[in-house]
Amino acid sequence: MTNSWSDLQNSQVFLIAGSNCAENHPIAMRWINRAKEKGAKMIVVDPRFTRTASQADVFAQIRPGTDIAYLGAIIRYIIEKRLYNEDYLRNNTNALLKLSKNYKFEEGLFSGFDLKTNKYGVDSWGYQLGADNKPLKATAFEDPDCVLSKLKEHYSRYTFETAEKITGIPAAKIQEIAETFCNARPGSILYALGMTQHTTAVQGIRAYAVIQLLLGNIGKAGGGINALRGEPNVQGSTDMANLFNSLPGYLPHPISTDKTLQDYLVRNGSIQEKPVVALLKAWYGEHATKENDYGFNYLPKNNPATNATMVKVFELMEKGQFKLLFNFGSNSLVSIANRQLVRSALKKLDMLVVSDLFEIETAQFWREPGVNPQDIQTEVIMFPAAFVYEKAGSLTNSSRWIQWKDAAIKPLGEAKPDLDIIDALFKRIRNLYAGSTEEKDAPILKARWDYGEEPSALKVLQEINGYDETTGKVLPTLASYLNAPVGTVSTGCWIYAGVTGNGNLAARRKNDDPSGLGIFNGWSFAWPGNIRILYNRASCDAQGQPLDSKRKLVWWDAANKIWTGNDGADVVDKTKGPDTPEGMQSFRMNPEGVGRLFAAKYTSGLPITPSAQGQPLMGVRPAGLCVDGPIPEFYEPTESPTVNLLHPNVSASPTAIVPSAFPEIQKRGKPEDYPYVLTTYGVVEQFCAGGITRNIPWLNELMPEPFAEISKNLAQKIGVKEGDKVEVSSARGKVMVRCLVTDRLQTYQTNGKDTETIGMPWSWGFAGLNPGPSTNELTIASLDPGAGTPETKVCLVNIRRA
Amino acid sequence: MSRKMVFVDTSKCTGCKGCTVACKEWNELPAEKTQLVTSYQSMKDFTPKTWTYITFTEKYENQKMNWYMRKAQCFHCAEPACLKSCSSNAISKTESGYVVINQELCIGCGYCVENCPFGVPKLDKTTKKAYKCTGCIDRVENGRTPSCVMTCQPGTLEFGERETLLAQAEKRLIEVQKTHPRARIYGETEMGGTTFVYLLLDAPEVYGLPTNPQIPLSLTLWKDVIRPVGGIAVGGAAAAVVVGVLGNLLRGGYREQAQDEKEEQKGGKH
Amino acid sequence: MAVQTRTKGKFGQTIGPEKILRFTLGERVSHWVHALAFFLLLFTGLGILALGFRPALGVIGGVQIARLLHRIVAVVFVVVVGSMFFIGNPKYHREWLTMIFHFTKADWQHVSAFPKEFFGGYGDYPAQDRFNGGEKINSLITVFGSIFITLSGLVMWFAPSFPPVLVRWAYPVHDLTMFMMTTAVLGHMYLGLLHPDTRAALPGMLNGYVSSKFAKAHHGAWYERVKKGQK
Repeated sequence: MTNSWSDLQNSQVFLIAGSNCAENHPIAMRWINRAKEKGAKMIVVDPRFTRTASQADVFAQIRPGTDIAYLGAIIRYIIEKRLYNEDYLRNNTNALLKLSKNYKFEEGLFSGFDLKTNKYGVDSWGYQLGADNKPLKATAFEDPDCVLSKLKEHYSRYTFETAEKITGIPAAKIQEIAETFCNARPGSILYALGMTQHTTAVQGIRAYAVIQLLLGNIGKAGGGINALRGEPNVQGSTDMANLFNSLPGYLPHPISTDKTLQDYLVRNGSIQEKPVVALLKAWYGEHATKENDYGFNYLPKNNPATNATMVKVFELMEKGQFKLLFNFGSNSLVSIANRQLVRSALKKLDMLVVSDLFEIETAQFWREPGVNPQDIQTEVIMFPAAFVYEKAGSLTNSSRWIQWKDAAIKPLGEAKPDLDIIDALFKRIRNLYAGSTEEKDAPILKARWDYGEEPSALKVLQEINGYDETTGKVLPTLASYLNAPVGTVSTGCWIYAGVTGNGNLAARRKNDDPSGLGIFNGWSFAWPGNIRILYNRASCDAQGQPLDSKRKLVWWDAANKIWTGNDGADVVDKTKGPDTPEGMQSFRMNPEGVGRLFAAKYTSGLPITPSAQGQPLMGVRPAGLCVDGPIPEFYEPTESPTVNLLHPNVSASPTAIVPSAFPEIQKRGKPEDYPYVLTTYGVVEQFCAGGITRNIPWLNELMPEPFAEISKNLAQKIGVKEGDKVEVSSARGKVMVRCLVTDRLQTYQTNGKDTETIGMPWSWGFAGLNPGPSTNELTIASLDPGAGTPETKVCLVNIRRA
Repeated sequence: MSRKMVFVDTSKCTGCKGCTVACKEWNELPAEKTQLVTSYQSMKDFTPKTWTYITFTEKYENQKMNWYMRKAQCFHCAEPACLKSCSSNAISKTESGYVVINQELCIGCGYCVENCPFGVPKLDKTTKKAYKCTGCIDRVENGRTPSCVMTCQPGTLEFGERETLLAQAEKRLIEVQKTHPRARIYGETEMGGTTFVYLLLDAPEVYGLPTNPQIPLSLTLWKDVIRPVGGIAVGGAAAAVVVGVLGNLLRGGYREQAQDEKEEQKGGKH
Repeated sequence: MAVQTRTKGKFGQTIGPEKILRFTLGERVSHWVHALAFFLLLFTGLGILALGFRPALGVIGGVQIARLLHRIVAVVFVVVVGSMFFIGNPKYHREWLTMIFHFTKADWQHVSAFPKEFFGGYGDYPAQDRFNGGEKINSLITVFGSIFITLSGLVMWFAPSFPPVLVRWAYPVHDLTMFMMTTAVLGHMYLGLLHPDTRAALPGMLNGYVSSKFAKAHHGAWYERVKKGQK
């Protein structure tokens, strides 16, 4: 979330698309309802009429996976009608920056596409640079080279009518959505897995960013792009680098060509020196010194050719590249798209260790019905894990609030908190290596591991917060980290600096709200630096004064020469006024200092001339790039009932990763055989893969079984009525469930052809108190090229009466 | 304690069913075996172990989908039919507006089960007692909100003074009627004014609720006419017998008869 | 006068000049099963009806046992009495049924004159048949009462299987019937046990025979018919 749960009350309008928050984030509705009571409008776009939709003022049923088509139409509408916020674009975005003349978009492909590798070379996606290496800035929005003009050109193809043909949403309805969302500001966009589990996931969110930047909704109370995170601590785990290609605090992970820290910094910018050194200090303490490159080579290096996102890990496992899998708090056999791969891959392990509350499906893969245990040699070890209330520690919620909790009760039986399990493992492993002088064992032997005899979660959080390595004292604030010389401080995750600075701030529970804006900055601690609304500098004018008198977040206090306000100011330096280069930046994490409508290739501070010593050029901060294009373009899902109306020859995303290493398992269906669109989702009563909830009788009686939701037309066509058994099949598998025949799904037109969506929750598996078929038997595991998220929200299926 | 109220603003309900779990948790009620009934509804009706559940009604008209969710539980009527029907004085009404079954006194006759216009109380075949929502009176009387209200995330349920919440309900109604012209308040006057008052988005019958719930005529006739009149009739008959015996004594009927019998024994006339 | 010796014999056949058979064994069984059941049902039912009476149920072990007993006795009553119509002198059961629905002028005259006799006076009415007007009314109350109380009881017992509105009406019907039957029973008992003139009918329900004198005085028409028939 750029904003927070409690900030939702400040919105005038909500676009909830790709999120079923009433079901999957019930707390959202508390704050949305408060806004609605003050007159806010709620727009819901979803493949089904969900429980969230039941609360909406405007609802549109969309064909799964076509969001970018209608979002593109909204972008076009905003630009054509000049509904964008000119001042905001000028001050806070790259709208006026001039793009390279080499940048092109033709026939569904951006410039730089390599047909052999299916990857983009991104050189043409840059700016026209001045002599100072800074992008040239146009004086008027009409300049044909500026970003806004390029957007206008790009989205001119996205008329409401075209969007209707692609999405199935009537053109008038798309226009109503566009008008409703643009006419009320601030507006907030909420999304979750409905938007991210696509091969065009990153670009979909990018489309949100474009809309919100055009409307000037970022950095404002009641605005923002709000990712509703799926689990209580999924934000925390993301912050701690649960993706293979990052280190804690969203630092890039070193790759095999980074022989030294210098190499790493050349690739990633000098700005990363402080956080990566602080991280190495946190992990290796006194063994990380300037002399040994701060232990940079203790870090494992990724092979840049290897994509090790979740689905790909199971491909590697199937290939026999893993001997042992530690499976903590994940139920892959239920949750991974095209679960046949998981079922097959787990067999290839020598040993599987599952740490969970219950003996989940993944732990029992060897006795799934239809599987012969005698064929499986994998040793399976089960660790009884403590439940959330049985362990102390912090959970980071979607608002980026790091919230501490104590253990309420002792773990049952032999169960142990994850920390205790990992601590015991590490200590034993280190003992096995004791005395080794081999270089490869150094990372284990040199690691700082001092959480106590009985590991203390607070000590872990303090390490994440960071220490002054010269005094050994906990870092008091984010600023004390930022201001310290490189190598003198440590932090396990630099964005968390300050969380345990002056006491355990994560444990704060002050819930007064003097501004009435739901900031609650005395409640726990939000990263970074307790800033509740990111980019809030953008809520001010050029003079640093709040633009919205009802929603004052931060302002420049000229008398005291400091940024102050109801929230912590998201500025480079609180003492630098709005007229300084630092004080102008509202998006300090971008090299341009502004929000990026166009994700251009750019590195700030890059020297123009090579150094005399022949050292490679090192810039300050390179821009984040999307591997599949600098601006969002609509592509059909991997399995689609139709072809791309905009560019039939490049129908699906050209960069999407469509797994095909195991053709027996990773099959792809055709619309002739599988004419219906399947979308999958969770229900409020069963959580994720159901490992916990399907073992709770009170929840099982609320949602006792999985089902397939179908329209009345489809029910008539296949001759079923509500409650009848149906068989749903895809190229990859089939499941049998009862059907719900409902008006909440309607037949719609795709490019003039009647189309049906079938909806199925995915939270069931063969184990536990409430077993049921897993919908991921059907789904396809093609991946977003950037994030590696599988396209579980769309695939093609057939359905018949069972 | 003053008259309390729970305002159920169904326009805010998202059907998360959290209230059902909170109820079972506080009241220590076990889960039951269920199956989806229709839509996302998994509980068909109240049971001795299910005191509150959500009803789901799908209504598609004029190209517009409405999905109505309503938390069902005892209304806690001001004029409760259950109380009137109870054979055992087991049901009582509190000043705060709660209608409570005392299971110690309940004999399981089931009169309340059949006479409640909303079908709320249910008999447990094993314990032979009737059960229903207590309104969490055990919490309320100790200064806490009912368990369902406490857990409600979207703010559908609010607990407080009846006067205050009724005023709030009226205000909400005006707002909601802009988008749902058939919206109405239900429970303000029904059954003498219930403790759970609803803002419904459509007519009560759409939710399966009686339009004009009343104490059944049969119950009034039974308890207010037949019982007293019947009692009088039996008493009257008993009195008549006494009078008859006395009358016969006075008129000497018994003596005559005794004489007749003697005569018969002597030899008989016939 | 002919003499009949078979106790199970035909109705109205006498075994001597003084006695005349009024009720066959089947009818007597019906009556007494009904009577016993009625009192047991009344006793157990009263405990549910009136809280003041409930402590009395302690005698049989409390209200739950009373509720169980109420159902068992109800079944016994319905099954036994019902089957007597088929196996216990069914012809006479049927004749009784036919007769009570056949209301004559003489019956009405009996009914209007009867209250006087009830309180010890002398009613003036024509000679009555085997059942006089009052007895017919009592029988009708019994027949309809039994039907209503059985049907309403059945609905109450299996309440979940019936629509609530039917169940709701079953309660007042059950109670109303009970009140009517109880009222009738009080009068019946008085006449059969306490009333100096009519209690002579009691032996008819015990061993089947009433005195000819009683028959002649109270059921003249019947007595004459039987006499004629025997000639």
